[in-house]
Formats: sequence, C-alpha cells, structure tokens
Amino acid sequence: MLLNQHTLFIALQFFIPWELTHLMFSHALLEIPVQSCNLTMTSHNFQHILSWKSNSIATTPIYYTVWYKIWSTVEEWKAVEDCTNITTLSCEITDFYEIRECYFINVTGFSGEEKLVECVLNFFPISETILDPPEISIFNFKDAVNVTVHHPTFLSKLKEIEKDFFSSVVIKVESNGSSSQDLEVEMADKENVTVTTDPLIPNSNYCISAQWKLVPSDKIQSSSKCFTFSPSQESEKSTLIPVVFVVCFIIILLITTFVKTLKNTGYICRKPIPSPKALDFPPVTPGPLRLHYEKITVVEIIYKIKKKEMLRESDDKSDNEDKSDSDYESTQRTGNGYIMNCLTSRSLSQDSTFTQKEGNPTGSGPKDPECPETNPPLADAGSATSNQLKAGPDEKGVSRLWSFISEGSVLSSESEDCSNFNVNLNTVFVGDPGDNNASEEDDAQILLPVQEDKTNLVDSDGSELLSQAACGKTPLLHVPSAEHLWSENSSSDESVTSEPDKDQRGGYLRR
Amino acid sequence: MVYRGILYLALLLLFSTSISSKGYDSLRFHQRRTNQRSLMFLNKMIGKLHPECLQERMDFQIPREIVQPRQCQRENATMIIHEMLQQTLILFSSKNACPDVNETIIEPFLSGIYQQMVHLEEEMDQANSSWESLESILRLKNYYQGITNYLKNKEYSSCACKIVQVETRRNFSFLYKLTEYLKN
Repeated sequence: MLLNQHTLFIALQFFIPWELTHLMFSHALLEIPVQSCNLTMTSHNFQHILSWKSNSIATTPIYYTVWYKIWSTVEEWKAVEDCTNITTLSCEITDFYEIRECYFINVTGFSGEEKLVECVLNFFPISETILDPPEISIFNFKDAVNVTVHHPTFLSKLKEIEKDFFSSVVIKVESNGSSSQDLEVEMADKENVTVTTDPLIPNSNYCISAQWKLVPSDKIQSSSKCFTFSPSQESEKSTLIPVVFVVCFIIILLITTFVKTLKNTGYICRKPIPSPKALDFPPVTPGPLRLHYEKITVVEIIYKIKKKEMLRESDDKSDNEDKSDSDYESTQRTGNGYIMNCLTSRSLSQDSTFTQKEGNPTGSGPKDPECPETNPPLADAGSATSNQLKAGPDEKGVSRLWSFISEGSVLSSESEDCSNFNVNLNTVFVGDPGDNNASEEDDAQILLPVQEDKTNLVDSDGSELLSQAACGKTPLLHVPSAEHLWSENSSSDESVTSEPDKDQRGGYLRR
Repeated sequence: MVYRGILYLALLLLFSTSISSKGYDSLRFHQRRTNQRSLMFLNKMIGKLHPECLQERMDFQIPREIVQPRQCQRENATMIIHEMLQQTLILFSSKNACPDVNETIIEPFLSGIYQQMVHLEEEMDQANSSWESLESILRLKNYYQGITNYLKNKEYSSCACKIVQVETRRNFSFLYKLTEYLKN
C-alpha cells in the first residue's frame, strides 16, 4: 500500500504540481476516525434523558441518532423515534417500557454519510433510575393521623406488567423513644389511597416516611415528614362543633315551644271570637232594665187608706162585683227576699198595653198579659212582704207591672229613656185612674215628672219608694198625701210581716 | 375420650399454623433482603458491557410463570424460588465458571444465596408439592440447562459470561414478585 502510494507520488511529481499532489495524498492517507463521546443517562422516575459530548472538530453539522438493543433478545437495533437525526446533544428516551431489561444504547453522529461520532452505553432501568419515594399527605385525625398516598404519575411510561412493582407502599411511622409502625398500602389504579395510623402520643415528635415495597432498586430516595403531634386542637374543634349544634337545636326547640304556648293561651295571634247573633245588641248604652214600650200607658196607683169599717161596709157590696169585675190579679213570687208582684192593671188605652219586660217587647193584645218570669235581683234576705193586689173596680185595660219590692234595699237605675221604679205596695194603692167611681178623697194621684229626677217617697214603714222618670212616658203613681202617709204607719206596720191579705174587698191592697 | 383427642388435634393444627405463618413471614423478610443484595452484586459483576458481546446474545426463554407469576400458594412459591436459587448457585460456582469475575463480589453473592436456600428448605419439608409447582420446576430445570449449554458452547467466554450475568440479574428482578407470595 505504501509502496504503491510512494510510486504514484513520484510519478505525479512529473505531471502535477506539488501542491496539488500533496493535497490529494493527504486526503487519501488520512481517515477521519470516528470520534467517541461520553454518553450520560439521567433517569428520574423512569424519565430517561440521554446526553453526550462530542470531541469532533468537524465543521459541518453532525446529525445524531440513538439506537438501542435488549440483551435478552436477539433483535436488531432499534432507533428511538424522537432521537433520530437530531443536532442537539441530548434526547429523552421514551421507548424503554420494560424496566427489568438491560438496554444497550448506541449513539451515532453522521455528517452526510460519514460517521463521525459513535458511543455506547448499557442501561438497566429498574436498578439505575432514581426513584422518588411515594408522595404522601398527612392530616390530623382525632388521636391519630391520616396518610394519603398519591398515585404515581410516571406509571404511564411503563408496561402493564412492570406496574406491579409500584402496587405496594410501606409507610413507616417512627417516633423518638417509641416503637415504629409499619403500614402496608395497596395502591389502586389511578386513585389515591388513605390509611389511618394507630393512636399517637400527644406532644410527641413523629416522622412518617413511605417506600416502595417491591422495587429492586438501591437508588430510591427516602424522605420523611416530621411533626409534633398535637391532637388537642383538632379534638376540641371536632367536639366543639357537635356541641354547638346541640345547643342551637335546644334553643330553637325552646323558642318554638314558648311561641306555641303563647298562641294556645291566646296572648298572640288572638282571633276574634265571633259572638253569637243573639248577643248582638244595638248600640245603645245598656241599662239594668229596659222597658220596651209600645205605648205608654198611664197607670194610676192610688194610695188609699181605708178604715176597716169602710172596708167592711163595702165588702158586702163588692163581693159580687169582685168576682166578676176583678180585673186585677196579682200573683206574687218571692225569692231572695224580694217580692215580685205582678200587677195587672188595666191600661187607660184599650189598644195599648203596658208591658215591662226584659228583652224583646211584645205587644199584648186584648188578652190578659201573663206575668213574664224574671229573676229577682239578689239582695239581702229580708222579710217577705206579701202583697196581694186585687182587681180594681175598673176593669178596662190591663197592664202588667213588675215591681221588685225589697225592704231596705234600693234599686235604682238611671236612664234617659228607661225608668225603673220600686213600688212599695204597703203604701200605695193601685187602682184605675180612669175609674170615676173611685173615692176621690182617698185617691192621690202622683204624676211622675218627665225629667230624670228621683223622687224619694218615704212611707210610714221607712221603705223608700223610688221612682224615676220614665223614658219619656212615665206611668202615673198615685201616692198618698203626706197626711195619709203618716197616718198609715200604724196600719202598715201591722201588715208588713203579715201574711198576704187575701181580702179582696174593694179591689185594693190594704195594709 | 374422643372429644379430648379432637381437642388436642385442633390445638396442634392451630399451633402448627401459627408457627408456619410466623416462619413464612421471616422467610419473606430474608428473601427480600437476598434479592436486594444479589442484584447489587450482579450489577458489580456486569460492569460495562462491550458492544462486541452483543453478537453473543441469546434468548434463553425463561418460563412465562416466572416473568408474570400468577397467584399461587406459598408452598409452590417456596419451591420455585428454591429451584431458581439452587440453579444460580450451580451456575456461578462450577469449576468452569467465568474467570473474569472478582472473587470479592462472587463469594458474598453465593453465600447469601446459599443461606436463603437453607431457610427455604426448612419450610419445604412441611409443604405439600402440587402438580403445578412440579411443572414449573421442570420448566425451570430446562431453562437453566439451556444456559449451561450456552456457556459450554461459548466456552465460558467473557461475553458469554456477561450474557449469563445479565440474564441472572433479570431473574432476580422477577423474584421480587414471587417473594410476596411467601405469606399467609
């Protein structure tokens, strides 16, 4: 080879200039050796980054390609897709899916068709990659801690069968001066897993670390999270919240019960109770006793004192008359010391009736009005005074008159329209004012004033006869003159407590 | 009398189970440590692989149940692991073993394997072998026989030894999964 080259060189000296000959031979004699490079594989969590440095002095750009083979198979070179004909001096290899295989890596650099750079490397991923420990999160939970292991993200780069290496995690809980706890966690597919440690001692320092259980690598970084366990705040918070809820519930319950009680008792939300229609009175000032008049009839009460002799004389005469002419009837009802005398007197006007009722006035026709039942007012029990009225000589017109006679009691009422009066029959003589046959000398007519004046008439008994002005139309009361009043004392005294005098002679009530 | 005998038998089974379970927990712990240490020694043995050895590569066709072990009983896992350790011990301790291997690396590697084999043999005496485990063991035997034949054919060249060391390291990575079956 050299002899031929020298021979050729000498021969060319004669035909080609020296400079050109020199250049031609130098290029032929010298072969540019393939430069080696330093391959460096940086693998972190199975993210493999291959880098190299070339010492080539070539002025033209060099295009690099990364090739690899697997030692356990007899396959040919394979080129990494993302690392083909690149000009950069590093490349990330994403084709190493089998982490337990041994890879033979070859990087070649070409300039045109000329190989300028070539370097090789063996790589065993499972043993040479730098693995981070499992990512964990720690949270206090009552008297222990919850440890959450996060699903590793690099598993997407691995083959399915290779993922089994990362299916188990061991959590170590270590404390100064106390035994440690080892918790094994089985990782779920693409999910985080949480485990709870055993109860920890308060105010103690703990360090929690997690490791891959099955990875056969001695390059696993270990990291631990240390803290001082203080469950008091968490327990207080955790126990305070339910207590607050219970207290609020009790308060709400009490308020609801109180409101319901007030509602039931009527203090609040009181609904107006509709009164029965029967109690709907007209808007008139109420009075104790109302007299509904259809027409006022003048009633004359003749206070007359007759001597016994006169009465006896007239008895014979009036016996027959009384039977047929008795228009007066009296009934008496007693109760509670009161005497209710139902005086039926003939009204002056035949068409009118004088009624004294409580309630609805009813006009009574020519029929004899009956005595309405009324309850006598309560009063001190007094001696019952019975009076019996006899029908007067005049039989025309009948009127009823209720009177509440009470000895020693006073009933009075003031009303503009109504009149209430008590008639002491001991001192009055009820008769028909229209009767001309009545004795004139013994009759004394009393005309009650229309105004609302009280006229107290005191008879010999000392009982008061109260009369008031009627409601516009007042009945007439015949009262005796003073002389007669005083002269009756003896006779009236005798008959106060006597039984009802049934002497109907003359038709007058006599005492 | 019969009831007393039944009671004794039940207690015996209960205690035997507890003892055996405790033994398997210890066995698993030691196996994990053996796996880790063996990998470390093999990494040191292999070192740098020369591209020329790529031409000596061989697909030995390891049994599939070693690459992807199914759920198996602890007795079967014990037998399989024991067979693999035993074959590895024979492969690396023969008088015709690879000459370029540093003794400071190979001796602790082999002693660790041997100690683990003893632990496994203690449990194997009480275990009942199943037909499935026997088939797996036969396939393993054929597998390691092929490796031995390969070495002989290559005359235990350095590249051939490198290839076998790489394959053994790969097998120990498979043992990590089998070791987890050594439990209750």
